[in-house]
Amino acid sequence: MRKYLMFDFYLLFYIIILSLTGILFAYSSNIHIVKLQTAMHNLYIRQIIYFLTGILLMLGISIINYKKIAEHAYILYLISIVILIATLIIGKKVNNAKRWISFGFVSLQTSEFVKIFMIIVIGNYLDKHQEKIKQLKYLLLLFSLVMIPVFLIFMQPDLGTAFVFIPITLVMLFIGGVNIKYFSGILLMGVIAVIIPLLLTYNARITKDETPLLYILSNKNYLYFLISFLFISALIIFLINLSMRNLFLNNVAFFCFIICLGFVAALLIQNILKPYQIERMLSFIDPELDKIDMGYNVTQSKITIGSGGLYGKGLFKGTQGQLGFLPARNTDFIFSVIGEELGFLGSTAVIFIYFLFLARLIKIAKEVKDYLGGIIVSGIITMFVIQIFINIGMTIGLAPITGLPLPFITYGGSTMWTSMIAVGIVLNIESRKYVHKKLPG
Amino acid sequence: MKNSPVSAKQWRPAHNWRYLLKFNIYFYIICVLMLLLAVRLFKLQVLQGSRFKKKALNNKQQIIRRPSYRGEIYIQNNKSYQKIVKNVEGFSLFLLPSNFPQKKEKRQKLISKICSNFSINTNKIKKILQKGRWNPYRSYLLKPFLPFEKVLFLAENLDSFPGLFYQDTPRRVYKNGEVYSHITGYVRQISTRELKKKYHLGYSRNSVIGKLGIEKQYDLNLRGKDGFKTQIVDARNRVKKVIIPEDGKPIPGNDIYLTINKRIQNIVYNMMQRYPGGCIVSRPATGEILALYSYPSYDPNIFIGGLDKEKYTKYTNNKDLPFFNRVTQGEYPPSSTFKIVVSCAGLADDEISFWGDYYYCKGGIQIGPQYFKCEGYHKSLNMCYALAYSCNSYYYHLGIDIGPQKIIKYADYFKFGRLSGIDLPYERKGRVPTLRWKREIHGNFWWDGDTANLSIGQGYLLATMVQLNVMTCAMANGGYAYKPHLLKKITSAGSGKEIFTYRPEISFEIPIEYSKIKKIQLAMRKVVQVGTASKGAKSSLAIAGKTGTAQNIQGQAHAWFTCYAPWHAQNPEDKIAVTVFIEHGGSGGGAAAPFATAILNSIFYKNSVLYNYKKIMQSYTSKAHYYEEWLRKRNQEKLPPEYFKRK
Repeated sequence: MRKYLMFDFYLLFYIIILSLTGILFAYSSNIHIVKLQTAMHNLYIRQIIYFLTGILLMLGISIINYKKIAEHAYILYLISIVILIATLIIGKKVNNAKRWISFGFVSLQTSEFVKIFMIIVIGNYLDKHQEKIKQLKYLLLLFSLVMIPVFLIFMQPDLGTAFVFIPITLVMLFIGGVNIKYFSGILLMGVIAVIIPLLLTYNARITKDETPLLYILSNKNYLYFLISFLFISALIIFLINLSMRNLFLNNVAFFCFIICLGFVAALLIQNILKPYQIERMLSFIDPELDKIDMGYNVTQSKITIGSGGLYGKGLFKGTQGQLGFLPARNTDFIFSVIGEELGFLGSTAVIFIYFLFLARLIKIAKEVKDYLGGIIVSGIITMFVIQIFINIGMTIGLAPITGLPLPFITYGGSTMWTSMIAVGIVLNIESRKYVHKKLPG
Repeated sequence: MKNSPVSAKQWRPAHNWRYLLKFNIYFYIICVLMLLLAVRLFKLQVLQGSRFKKKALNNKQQIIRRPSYRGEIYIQNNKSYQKIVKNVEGFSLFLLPSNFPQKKEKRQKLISKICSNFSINTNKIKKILQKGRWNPYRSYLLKPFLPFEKVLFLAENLDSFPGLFYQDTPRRVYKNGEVYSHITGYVRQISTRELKKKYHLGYSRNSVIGKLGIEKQYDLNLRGKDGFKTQIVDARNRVKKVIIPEDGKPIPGNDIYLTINKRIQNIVYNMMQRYPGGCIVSRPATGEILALYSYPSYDPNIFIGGLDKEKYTKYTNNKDLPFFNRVTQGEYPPSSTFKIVVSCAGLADDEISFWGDYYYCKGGIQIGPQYFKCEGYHKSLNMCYALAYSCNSYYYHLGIDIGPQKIIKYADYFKFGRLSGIDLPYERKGRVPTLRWKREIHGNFWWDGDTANLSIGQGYLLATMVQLNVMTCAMANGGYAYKPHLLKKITSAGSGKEIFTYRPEISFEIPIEYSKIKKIQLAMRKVVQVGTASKGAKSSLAIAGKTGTAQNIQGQAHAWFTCYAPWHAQNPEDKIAVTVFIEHGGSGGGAAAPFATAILNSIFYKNSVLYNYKKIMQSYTSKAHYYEEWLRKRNQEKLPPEYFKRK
């Protein structure tokens, strides 16, 4: 019985404070909505219900042993793929994106739950193949394992959530101890694959200058030539090196190959990605580009936060949110409303609580009993860090607008429950850190 | 974990230094990220907070203009004042697209209903609805100044016209607009060019500005100060709250009182209703203008509440240019009336004796290659009779004797070629040709022929009616004249307190002895008694004046008559100076003098029959018959469009 009481109450405390803030601002941002729209008026009541059910869910998850859950990782993987495909088929279409499955009274964003499932799946995989993961074969296998749900989420399309999987995987690999050469190689490939399409679109839309490098990159024939050149040179160096077995030359061949792969990926991304998605990223780089469309959100959000000043306009007195200048004030830009009504003091207080929350998670991660628990906690920490940083960052123009939720504060059932489940797993791991025997339950 | 001593399956992460180091690194990364957010928040909220606060305020605030009431214009009527330009509370019709029905059939029905009830074009409503699709919570002006019955009708049936509403807007009304149009001018929306020039004076894109006449001249006094109110709106432009600040009340403009006399202006208006021309009546003792009229005139009310296009095109197609104020803007050769100035120049330094020096008129003189004609065969004349009979030969001789420099000098004393200073906009200067001017413009040297032309007021010389009237005033006063003016006083609209009262100011003084002026006055009296105006200016009044018949290349001669009466008045305030000009009127004595005399008769004998132009024409002019024919012919033929272009 003792183990169930060994809860980390600090963590619980932070979660409750954050959730109450979320409920308060779900109420505040809709205080002036006309009474005809009752559905919007009662948002905060729904949020309270999500919060209470989330707490129950968290407690329930923390009781089941995490090792037992991890043993059934392949089932979780299958479930996540099935629900993602189901979303693509029977999902509710909102703003040209199919992200929700509707269950009548509540609609769930499936990709949120897949995040948790995938963290467990990756944790289990790394735990099973602790030594083998240093070989390229197992690393690539892991990547292909992750790429399938990421691709399915990307098809919805939900760029933000799909993007979250990359840092989660990388950090889990980093904690799990991966070969640095392969790790950095894959990172380099990713960077090339992302930067080139962005650069080209930016040049085609805005700067329009014809420097030779950009010209070569934008011309597909040149790009094909470049790719084949890199590929052949990598091959030649590799073949020459077969007899010499020089480590340096081997590395050169490897990175040539990686860059070549990066170009291929860039080509693919450029063809697959929809123009508005690239433009979203561009408007992050330079929000003044088009004020009406994408940049409008960033500009209005900055005005909202900035106008709060040091002390804020006072609770329920924000004008930007309540008069409707700020878009998506319940979901993506809830932090702007906090910044407007509570000012610099309030918004930094929220950030400070998040910091304490994350520090607590790190502390738990350091004390875990086994490798599996450590990796899973690191994945969950990364999930939170990315969501917090990108959500707050996008309201103040530090990050692109991706529609990632702010854990515990953003209105919505899926995100609340996902965060609660994640914390439940952490509590689960934490409460078993001193237990050495295999326990029932 | 190559160096890890424990096998992988068993190690406990808490005891592995690499594992702990990785999490320590991760912790510091998190610290940096959170610090980044906090620093950025500090920059946005604390350092740039005031800037963003202003932006947020701009987002939600709209400042709405509340138009001020423009000042009113009064004229004199029997020692009291009467309004000629006033503001009437008008109601304008507005459309709010957001309240318009969405269904197509209902929409069509409502549009046709509005069109039939308020006589509005269907396309106009459709255009507004198209515009309103992007901004449906803004109100659009549908029709300015509804008739009162329509407003009542709308107020009763407001429910059956969703989307329509009315709002009161001050409306300018010009009473008897055609009589006073060249005095009052008119108002219109400010143009972009004017706004660029007058932005610093507090005009905005919506302000109304005087375009002509007194409305333009005293616009700063008349316009008042617009008020404003603040509206709090939401992102869809819906008004949530209206704030009317203390200093947002519109301040009405000042009222302006003119020296124009209603009775005299009406007399002049009735007289001048046939031929293009102008008339100005003033009081020499103060310089105030009692009447000013230029025929044809326009109705300024066509500009109020949307341009009345039908009338406007009628005015712009009129060959006699109704918007052209002939009194201040018309430059014509002053012809024989200028002989007064030449006489002054001759008498001033005792070069010529008024009674004693004779010239012989044999019907003209030969100067170089050209023969300069005289109207008659006057034989031997002195100045008195030369002026009375308007003998050209005498003045050719006189001009050549005293030289052109002296004539120019005296013309300059009389302010010919310079602005008279009348308070109406766009006044023209006229032209006094100088020797240098001729050399520069025409490339020729001045010769005696030019002097001869100048001394009978022809040739290059041009003058306006105001200038000739001021010259007459100077003769009536005995050598000096006041600046002509229309303004009497300015009072504030609310309290009626006088802000400014006009004080007569002397425009010029001629350096000549009073006795010599008196001699010329006598000669001017002789003009009416025995001379050129003896037929045309028959009256029991002692009128003294001078006729002028201005030859020009466009057609018949222009008719001038400038005079004052009574000649012998003891009290200088009784004197009244009248200048009449009739474009292509024939001879001054035949066409213009009867008008001036009739006007003076009507002014001084209040019970006399009010003459109208028909009676005058019947009783006097023999040339009227020809003139009418010529006028009819000219109106039939089509003039090229260049004729109407501004030069």
